[in-house]
Amino acid sequence: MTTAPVRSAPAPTAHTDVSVQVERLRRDRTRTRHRRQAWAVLTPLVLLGLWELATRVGVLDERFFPPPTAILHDSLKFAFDAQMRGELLDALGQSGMRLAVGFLIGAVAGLVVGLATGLHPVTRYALSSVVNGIYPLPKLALFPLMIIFFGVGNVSMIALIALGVFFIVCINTSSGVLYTNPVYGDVATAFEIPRLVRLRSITVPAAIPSIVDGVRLGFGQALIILVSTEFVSGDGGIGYLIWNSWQVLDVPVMFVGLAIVGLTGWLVSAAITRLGNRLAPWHAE
Amino acid sequence: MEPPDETAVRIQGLTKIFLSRKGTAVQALDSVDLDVQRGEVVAVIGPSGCGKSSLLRILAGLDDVYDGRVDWNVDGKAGAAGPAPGGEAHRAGRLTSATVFQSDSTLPWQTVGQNVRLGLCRLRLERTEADARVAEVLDLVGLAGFTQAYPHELSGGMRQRVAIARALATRPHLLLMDEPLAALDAQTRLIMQQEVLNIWQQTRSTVVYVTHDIEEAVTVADRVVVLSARPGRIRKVRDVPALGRSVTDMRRESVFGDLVVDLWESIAGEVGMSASASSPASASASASGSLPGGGPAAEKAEVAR
Repeated sequence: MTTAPVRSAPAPTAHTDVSVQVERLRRDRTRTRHRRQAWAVLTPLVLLGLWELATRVGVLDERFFPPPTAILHDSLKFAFDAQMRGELLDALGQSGMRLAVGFLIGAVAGLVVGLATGLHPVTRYALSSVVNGIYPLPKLALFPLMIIFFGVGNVSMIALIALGVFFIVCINTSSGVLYTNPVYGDVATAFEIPRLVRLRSITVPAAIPSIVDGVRLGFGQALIILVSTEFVSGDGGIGYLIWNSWQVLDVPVMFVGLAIVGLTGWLVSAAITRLGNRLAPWHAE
Repeated sequence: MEPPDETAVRIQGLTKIFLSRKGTAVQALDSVDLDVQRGEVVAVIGPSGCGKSSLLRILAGLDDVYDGRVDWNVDGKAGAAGPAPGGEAHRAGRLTSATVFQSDSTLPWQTVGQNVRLGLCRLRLERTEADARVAEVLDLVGLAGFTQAYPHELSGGMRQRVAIARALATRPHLLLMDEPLAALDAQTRLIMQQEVLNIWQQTRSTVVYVTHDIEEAVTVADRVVVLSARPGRIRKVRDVPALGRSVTDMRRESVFGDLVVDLWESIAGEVGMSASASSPASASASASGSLPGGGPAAEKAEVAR
């Protein structure tokens, strides 16, 4: 930090030129921001470096923890080897479809039911025991039930993903509606605002920050359910890729699968946060 | 032609009881009778939790569980309207009542223009008419250049101006103000009192103005109603003599100070305190507040504690 002594500034009068000081404040702020961003990038790089070092020195068993460079090397095979590329793309396609369809169904259903329970006390009480009873169950425990309902295959997996997303989005939407500043509701009533306008212009916008939180958490839940059902069902997809490569001790491929899942979760979550900031700029500050 | 009835709203025997969270009954208002004349500004003051806000919420249509009568006279004929803000008034392009709330009630996801316009929803105005009204009221409150701004870009005083503009745009038969300046700092409050006076000068609104600030009540009102400690009864009604249009000039008038002190003493008596420094609190005066406090009518500001 190079903060010049205050004395060096000219005596403050009404019309002093302060552009130098302003410039310095701007520079300091930019520097602080860059330093923080550097930490965000450097920390994982350092960890990867330590990992690399640990395997090279022999602290970590290379069979289970191949060095990051080896994983990178192996992952390049996915790019150049036509057969491996095909397998990976197939797996990504299957998982992507399950994730997208399940997530979408769950999120929309959660939004609708969440609004209903938030707005309508009778519905809230009627559904509270069902929702609060099923919500804390580990969703994978319901997978056999889904298979009974929908058979082995995509539909039961999609249904389980949708279920997991549904509860989180539903609960967040409902509390978003219930716990918004009551003065907004008072405005709607005092100005006799018609019901549809009230829903569209007051109730839903007020709940948006909470809904976006629910959607983001829901996506994390969807990824967890996706991978774990694919572990169990042996029916292709990125989860199957991870599990299978572990079974045949093709550890680098396993790490590639893990990296794909991790990056997806990170990127989508960041995208949802951005979307939330765009939809609710007043809340972002 | 017969001169029309000049009463805007007639409140008779208004009693409000609500249940606290624990289920105990709290009586907020006890047979309140009050007529508000057209074009008149009535300030309602009283000790903490005396039911000022309950009265206002009933008039605003936010609370329709009460005993007694609230008769609206929206088209000059006595007793023409029902007990609650009704549908008849809308044909004239006016709401029965519009409210300015104590806390910031602007919707942060809408621009200033949209916020004001939202209040007009119920009136189903022509687009051009609505646009004209929005422009007119924003001009009136001095926010003409801020139509496209969002509330979080404005100061607290400006946001409260938006709320006032939103209420004025509906040309309400009765404008309700629930401690509208209480959340502002002292300087802004004084400036806003002047603004409010100027606005009423131009709009000739009928207003019920709830406040815990006695000076503010005397500043803005034509008539000051003092409610007793809970359950709220009308303890005193004082007409405010014409004191001029300037909030600073009127504070120089001795009448202003006398009236403020007089009103203060009646409120202090209600909460069992004397306004003068020496004498101790009289025990019996607070007995009327024997029902336990709490609940929506409880005020943030503590008077004479």
